[in-house]
Amino acid sequence: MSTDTIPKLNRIEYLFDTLGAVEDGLSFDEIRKELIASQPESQGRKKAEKIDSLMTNTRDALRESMKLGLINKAPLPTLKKHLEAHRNRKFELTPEGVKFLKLASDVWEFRDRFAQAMLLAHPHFRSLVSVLSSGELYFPRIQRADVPGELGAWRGGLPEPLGKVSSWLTDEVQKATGEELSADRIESNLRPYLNAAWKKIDWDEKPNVVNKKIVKTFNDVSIRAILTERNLKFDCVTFRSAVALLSDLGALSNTHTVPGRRGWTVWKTSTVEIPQFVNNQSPAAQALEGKVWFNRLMRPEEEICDLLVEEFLSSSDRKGGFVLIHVLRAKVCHRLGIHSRDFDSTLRKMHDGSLVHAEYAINLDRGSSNEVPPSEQPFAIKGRAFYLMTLLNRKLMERN
Amino acid sequence: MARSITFIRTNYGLEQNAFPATAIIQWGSSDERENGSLYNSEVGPDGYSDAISKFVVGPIDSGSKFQFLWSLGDGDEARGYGKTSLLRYLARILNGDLGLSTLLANEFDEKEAKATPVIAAMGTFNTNDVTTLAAVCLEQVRYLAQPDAKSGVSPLMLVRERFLDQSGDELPADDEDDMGAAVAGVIKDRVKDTSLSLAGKTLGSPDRILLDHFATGNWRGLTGHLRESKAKDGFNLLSSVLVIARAAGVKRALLFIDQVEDFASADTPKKRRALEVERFRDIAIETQPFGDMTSFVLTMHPAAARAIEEYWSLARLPKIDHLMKQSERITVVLRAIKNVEDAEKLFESYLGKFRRKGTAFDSLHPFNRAAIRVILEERAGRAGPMLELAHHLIEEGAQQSWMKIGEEEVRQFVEPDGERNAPKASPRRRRIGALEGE
Repeated sequence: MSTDTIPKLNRIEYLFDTLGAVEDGLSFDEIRKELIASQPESQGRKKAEKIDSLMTNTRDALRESMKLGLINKAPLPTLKKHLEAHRNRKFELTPEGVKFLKLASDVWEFRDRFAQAMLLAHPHFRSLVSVLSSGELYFPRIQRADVPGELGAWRGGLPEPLGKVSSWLTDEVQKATGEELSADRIESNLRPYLNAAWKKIDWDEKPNVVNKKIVKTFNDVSIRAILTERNLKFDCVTFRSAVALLSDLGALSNTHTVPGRRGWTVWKTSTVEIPQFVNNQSPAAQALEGKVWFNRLMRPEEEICDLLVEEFLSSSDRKGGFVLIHVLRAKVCHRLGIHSRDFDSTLRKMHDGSLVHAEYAINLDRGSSNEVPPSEQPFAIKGRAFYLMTLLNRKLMERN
Repeated sequence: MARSITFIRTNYGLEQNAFPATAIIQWGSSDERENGSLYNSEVGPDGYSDAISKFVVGPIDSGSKFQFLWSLGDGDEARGYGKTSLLRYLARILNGDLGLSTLLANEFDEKEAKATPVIAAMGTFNTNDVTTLAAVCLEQVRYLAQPDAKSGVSPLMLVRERFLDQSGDELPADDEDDMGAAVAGVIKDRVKDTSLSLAGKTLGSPDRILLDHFATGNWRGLTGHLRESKAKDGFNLLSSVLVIARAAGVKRALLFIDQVEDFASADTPKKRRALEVERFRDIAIETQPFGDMTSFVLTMHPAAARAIEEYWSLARLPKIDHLMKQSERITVVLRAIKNVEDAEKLFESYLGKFRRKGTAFDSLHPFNRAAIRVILEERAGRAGPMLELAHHLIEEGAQQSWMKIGEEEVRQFVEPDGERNAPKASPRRRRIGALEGE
């Protein structure tokens, strides 16, 4: 398996905005400030005001742009203490970078060819998309009660029997996806990663803090163990970045809210047929060649609209006539195998009346924000978040 | 700087700014612009007639205990559609003649309407001191004791008058000095008899002080007693009022409860929510005379409905879900104002109230139809925010010496400062690859 450096970025916009900022001749520090300014408030724009905030994201975005062949190679700070030496450094677009920016007037072609460049540059991305082609990935979420033993005993070594955890993981995956994983192999995947993590735990912290860290460690390591079983060489952090970036590009979708599941589900929302390239060009140059071969899977909006209504009406989560939008989105997208963006787009059209369901109109509400977990993106219209929705019977509305 | 009011009087022909400064009904305010008393039942989709049918006629005919008032439409918020105004107006209309004219207008014949007096009381949750059902009950008793700002008569005064009408034969006719004491005695005896005749679970005898003040017609004393009462006394006081009303022949008490979302807010502990919902059932259904006489109307809000439905279902109370077939006959859904004619009627009821006598302005002045259309669109047909915007436009118009408020003035006012004054976005700030709408 080849090595691959996945940029630790959670939004594709970091890369897009970096490209625009380089075109405008901004320095490293100005790009950093630009990326801070473009962050949604919910992701800490107000907090990110320190002199070195977002330094690593800026560096990773520039490094990735260089790797893709969009920006000419130049030195970058590796540590925050090196920032001063790079603060005023400026960067140059490659001819492919210029071509990509020209493409930006057609947003989808720009995004699709960008996805192509990322797939060409990252063998791990290609492996992930390939694995998803044969079925979704599911990572059950471990809770405190799933970890055997007590805090006192854990000081002496890993919770035992560890096989209990691996059996639970494989059972849950089997129930959710039908996929048979080997509990023994999962256990042997878990053990070395857990051993390494165990050495880093500060046992002098408060018991509740240690408990939380142990549960988090188990979850991080179990993701890695399941990925290893599928021949995917990601650690938990880079896997999250990969999913975030590929999701932003429409290659896959994911949620922690599929009903009946307690865990993270990732599924493909694209097909990819990478042509053979004989030249030694950069990923960006290759991605610009020929027809677009990265295809986002689409479903007709009417079909999404109908399923949205069907799932709403049968939802067990409906309380007081309202459902949480992110839960309904997870259901519909998972069932249709579509991207969450397509659901959001359909719902926006139903809201503005450009897409009409024959029997029901929709009503959105901003209440219940506290019920949306941080893992799920709130549904928004022009930056305004809505969390609840209900349907209104058109016949009744007309009668009144 | 010249006073705005001078400009408003001279050029707009109004005694004062005719519109409320906020989109929130102010409980107990004497300002007619703010307290919802200028509600116009002819405005908008048929919410008012639906409310009469489902909140008044329905409970009398079918005995249904719980009704729900929602505001849902094409707008983004469940506020500002006029739920509070509607309930206040409905309560006021019903209490004006103990429901007689309303019932006559809704297929009751005269004999039946006279034999079916109703009273209506409003109470509202808040996040401060009215956080329990008992506290809401106290609010409702205070409401029934409060004289109407226009007529000067409270619902309890009307109930006492009904006692006097009904008790003519029992009252001493000769010695006027003893009249007051005799009337009080008769009222107290009848209330006590009514109380003793109640079968099943009750909350005990009527509150003695409340009954004394009511029987003697000491309204000042009654108001003072209620003012000093604590929230925990709410159930007993409301029970006392219901026994009194029943003794006077009142058949139905409609209890309106507003701002349920405050009760269901995240600040209210789950345990208290569960307990309070249980109390709803215990009091409303299993305690007399609540069980026989009362019918509740709750204003619903999406987050509130979600927050209480679990406990509501556990208490086996009727489904809150407005979409279910079984909820149709107990649910009124207020909708946004759709057409400019209705918006004009809404504005005219406020402008007409404050129009100076002898002025020759048309009924919408200083607005015109185009301005009202923009206001309607801008506030998505929600009456409260439309009126609030009209208030600000009048103030702005007076400041800017606008002789009329037309489409251009409204657009100029509602366009956010940021959009009006912001420089064009720099090329650097363009969002490469950004998707619309997100």
